[in-house]
Amino acid sequence: MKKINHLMIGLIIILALFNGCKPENAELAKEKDAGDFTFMSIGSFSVERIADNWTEVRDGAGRTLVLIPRGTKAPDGYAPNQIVHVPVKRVVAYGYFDIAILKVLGVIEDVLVGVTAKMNDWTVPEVIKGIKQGKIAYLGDYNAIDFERLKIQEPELVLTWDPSIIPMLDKMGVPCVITSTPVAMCLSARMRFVSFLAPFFNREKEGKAYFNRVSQSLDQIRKKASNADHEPKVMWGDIYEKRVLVEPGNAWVGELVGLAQSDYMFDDVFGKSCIEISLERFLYSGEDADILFTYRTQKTGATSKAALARTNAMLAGVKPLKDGKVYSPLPNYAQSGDKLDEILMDIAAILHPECYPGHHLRYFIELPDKDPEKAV
Amino acid sequence: MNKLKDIWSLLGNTNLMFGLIVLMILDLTVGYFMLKSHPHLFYPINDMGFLKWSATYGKNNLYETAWLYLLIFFLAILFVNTFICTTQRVTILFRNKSFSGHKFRFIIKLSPHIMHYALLIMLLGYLVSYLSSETCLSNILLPEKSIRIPDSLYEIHLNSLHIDYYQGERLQYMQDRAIDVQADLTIQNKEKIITGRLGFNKPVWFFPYSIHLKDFAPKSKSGMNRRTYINVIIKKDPGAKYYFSGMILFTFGLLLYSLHWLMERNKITKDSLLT
Repeated sequence: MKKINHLMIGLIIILALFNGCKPENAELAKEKDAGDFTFMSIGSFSVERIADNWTEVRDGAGRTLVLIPRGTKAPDGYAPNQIVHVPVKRVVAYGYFDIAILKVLGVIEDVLVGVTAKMNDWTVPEVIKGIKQGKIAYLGDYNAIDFERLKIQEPELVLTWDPSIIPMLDKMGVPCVITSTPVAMCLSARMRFVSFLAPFFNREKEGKAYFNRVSQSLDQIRKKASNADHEPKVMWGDIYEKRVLVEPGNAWVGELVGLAQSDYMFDDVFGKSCIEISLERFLYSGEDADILFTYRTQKTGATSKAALARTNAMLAGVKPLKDGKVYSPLPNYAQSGDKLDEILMDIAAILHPECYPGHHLRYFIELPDKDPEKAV
Repeated sequence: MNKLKDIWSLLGNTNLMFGLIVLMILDLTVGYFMLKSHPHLFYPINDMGFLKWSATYGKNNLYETAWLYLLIFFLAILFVNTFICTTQRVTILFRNKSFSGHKFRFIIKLSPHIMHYALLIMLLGYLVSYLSSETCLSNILLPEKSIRIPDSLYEIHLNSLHIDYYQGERLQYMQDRAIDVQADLTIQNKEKIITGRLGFNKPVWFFPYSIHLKDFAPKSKSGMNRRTYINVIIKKDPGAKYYFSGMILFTFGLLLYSLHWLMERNKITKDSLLT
């Protein structure tokens, strides 16, 4: 009996030691060099270097792809649609963030051959130039892709959030990477997503430089916010005609707000980005919030607090619209993932303007109470 | 020989079991927080298999995953402890000659041990499942289209997809949102054709495979206009037969145990009436 008791006490101690806590955000502190790791998980994504000429990756949907250098034989055990020859030379991409990462890696002008937004919707000069020159094709809206046009563009890889195109791409023999995830990307995953795409283009160094840049910006935010004298309450979302959508607490924006000594009102909400919640839940948080980040841009009706209130009478009752602050993203916000450090800094400056005197917002605009009266 | 006997009796000790349960509660408490704060590290275990997961996610994130390894260690000891403890008692039962001629009473007395052995079979089944099951993720099926199950001659065809949208008035925010989905599938190879209706929590089974619904679109009549599809997980799980057998055996043991309990209760009632 004594023996058993000693065994139990020993095991409890081991349990306590083994499950010690890692320092907070330790994984953000340093990005590994390309040659330093054999396995790296990035949110729902992962990269495993099995051999010098054999890298296995898992995309956002958990599908496995294998990256092999051009001209080498693919290892056994993989279907043809799982094999990607690197560096990839022709890419079709759906998401703005994916395209921004191509820019970070310095390959956007060389590899991007197809997009799903029209030229007028773009603020990225490289894409506008590519469309004008005919190198980049507009392939149609996401739900009506022109597969004939896609075939003409001869992509070697498609980066998409829409899994419904997989069967068609499989038939065409084009490998596809799902870049969206079932749960929202956390801050670490958002910053390190570049390390997932980098091996497709042999651009690990550029990926690391980007990570370090964003990481430094985050350190600065943390330091400056530690001097802040108040904790603003923040909500990020919107009420639409039939749905209420918000950024959950596990999303990068939720984490950033917390990191910048602020209180994110949807911290208890977990799930995918742009998650739907009940109207009551939104209004409940709206009673206390100081700052609201709306999804709507000026183009979609967010020109002033009054204009926003007109879109939904319920929204008019939330505190940020009555006596707080409301911020709307500028058109370049969604397409500027390559400047994530600047976006993070903008958000931090909004939360703690006293820590950033003279900061000029580049990705958000504070909504005035009313629309300026039109000159007659 | 004596040492072996000591180890045997130490591993079969009931106090060890209580201690293990306390340790498992502590370990699972840690696990709860780890799962909650790092869900992305644990999702892949379901489709990668334990060994591959261990060599990648597990090994590279030991702080977050150590509780799982400890849990497996505790479960292994619990397995051995339950086996020895039960076997010791069953041996005593078999040696007890007072049951000769009372086969039914003997079987009834055996019921708790049947449940224990069933639990062991279930645990073994889950072990086999985690070690050797094959999972194929993100198989997208479009209406009236087929896909082939990897490394097999089976083809799955989506005959039709029925999505029920909420049309009531009580829950305004649910208006036109999907509340149920059912997909009619045909699975066939050269030899046989199987049809089945797939839904959430309602997989289609055809040995050695099972098909599970993971996602579908469109989820709403309004909002983003999405192409119609279902996303299925295809599993080949050799452990399933073990844990299903374990469950059946457990149910059998439980029935016998209930019968025993009822008989004992009736006996007590009769005795108290007589006195």
